[in-house]
Amino acid sequence: MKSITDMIVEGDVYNINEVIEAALKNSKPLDVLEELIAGLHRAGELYQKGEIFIIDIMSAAETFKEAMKLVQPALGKAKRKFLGKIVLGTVEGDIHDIGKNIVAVMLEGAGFEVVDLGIDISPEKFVEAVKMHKPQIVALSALITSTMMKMEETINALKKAGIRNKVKIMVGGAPVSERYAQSIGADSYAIDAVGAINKAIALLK
Amino acid sequence: MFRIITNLMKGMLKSKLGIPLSGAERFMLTSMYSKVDRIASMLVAGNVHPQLIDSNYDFVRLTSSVEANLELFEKLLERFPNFDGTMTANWLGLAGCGQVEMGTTMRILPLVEPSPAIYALDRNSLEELPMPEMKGYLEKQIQLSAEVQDRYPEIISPPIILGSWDLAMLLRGEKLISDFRLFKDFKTSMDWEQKKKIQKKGDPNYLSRLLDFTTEASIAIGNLYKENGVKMLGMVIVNQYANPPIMSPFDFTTYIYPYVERVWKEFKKYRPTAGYMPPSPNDMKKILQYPALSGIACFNNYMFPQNEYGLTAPEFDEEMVAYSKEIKVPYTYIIHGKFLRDGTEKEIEAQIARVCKLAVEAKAPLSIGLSAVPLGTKLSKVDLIIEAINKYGVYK
Repeated sequence: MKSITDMIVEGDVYNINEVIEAALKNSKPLDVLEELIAGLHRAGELYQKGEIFIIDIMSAAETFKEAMKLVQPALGKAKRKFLGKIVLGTVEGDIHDIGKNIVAVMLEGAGFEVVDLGIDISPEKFVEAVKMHKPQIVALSALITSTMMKMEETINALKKAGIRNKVKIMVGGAPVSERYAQSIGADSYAIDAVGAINKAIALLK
Repeated sequence: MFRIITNLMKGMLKSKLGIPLSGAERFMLTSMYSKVDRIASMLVAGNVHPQLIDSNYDFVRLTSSVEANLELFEKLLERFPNFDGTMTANWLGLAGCGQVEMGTTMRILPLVEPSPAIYALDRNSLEELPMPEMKGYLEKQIQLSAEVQDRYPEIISPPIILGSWDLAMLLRGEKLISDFRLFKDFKTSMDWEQKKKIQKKGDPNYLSRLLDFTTEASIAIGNLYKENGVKMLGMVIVNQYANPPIMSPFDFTTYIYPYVERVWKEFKKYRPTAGYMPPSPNDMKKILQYPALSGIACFNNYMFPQNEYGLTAPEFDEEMVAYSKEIKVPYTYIIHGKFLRDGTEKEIEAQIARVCKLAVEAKAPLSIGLSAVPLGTKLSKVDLIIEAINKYGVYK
């Protein structure tokens, strides 16, 4: 019989519910959650090594989300202790969200509370979200070179609103580079979803 | 066709006599893996952000006018006259490829490349989708291709059409990835109980029906080009959404390639190439064994792992240049847009020098191209690439 961790890595969304139901009868919900998170971590590592691909990691993420529908209510009062809160979104003008969605699930799996604003998010909406959710980190995503300019506008809008120093800003996406991140005053750049986890943890220190 | 053959013969003779080649001759001879005087340079015009050339041109204007694309192309040639090959004179982007006429709505903003906003299959069933016809953006794209070929006979400008997978992605969006997963899991499962569970999640045969449809649509698009005066020699069939990191080379060759090959076979006499870019030299060697993928459109570093500055693994180039000698297909070194934008002039020159040295020492024909010239790039860096190729890329 496959472990929960393996089922996540393999994206076995077809059988995960049965296995989680059984596991919740015999184990503490937090232990089940640990196994789910281990699976997501493993999938992320394999992706980073180039051994699995976006199609596979999306399946892992979908399976994790499916399992969480059962694990979340079971957690009840034994709520997860989050590492921190992240507001995440794809910047204005950009309607791509595959990468951003994977990062959101991976961050959630790593123990962050994630507020996913979605796609095409204006600088003003990021400012509102920061005021409302009070995150430690704001993560900005862009897939095309001509929309990544909005990352800088978003950072400037946070400055203008007087809240830039209350958050750390992390940027990522295909056209973004370490040097670009530095040039616009972001605090961190993540090359992929696993990188995002490590960078987010580092930003909290 | 006649002009291409004449240029090729002329180039070969000049090369033999040691007379400097023209850009077109060098580009063509390099593509044929023939002896040349120096490394060839290549610019894909449509990948240069229009605002960098002239602020009067944006995507709203360019997607609505064939003439605007031709004007901008002329300006681009004036600004960068020294590239050996300058191709794909269109900024119509994804708007021009057929999916719009089949029902997908594109989002066109002045400064942002067109992207799908509403997918055809979110509004209609597969059975309701029409085959592409000569109208709308597709018609503009075809007119533009024919016009560029007429106005610039020296420039190699083959038609570029969407392949089965890319067309499916532009009609279906991200849901195509779930369709693929269901299809693959159903096909590979040996257990009937598991197969039943997969069927509960969705129709595992939907993907093959969709790809059958888009394969026919891709062929229909190619035929529209042909019937409307576009010269088809060297046409390119694009499936960029199948590239890593989206899909593994194994999944691509096992499940998607048969559809790609159907389109390729239909136009085989025009020597088409179906582009697919694998993530490592080993995968590259396997990919180039497939008839439809054996051309220069696949043989480059574009999808090799990148570092945080947009540089692909340098150690892979040595292996690929050596392999290019073995298979007699030129390797193309592509400079990623983000490295061009963010790298210093010194760093860019160092990369060009490194790659040129490899090819010159190996006496292997090689092209250097740019994946994109994004907003925020100093155009002097593009000039620098030409200067560096002239400095380091001369074969002795």
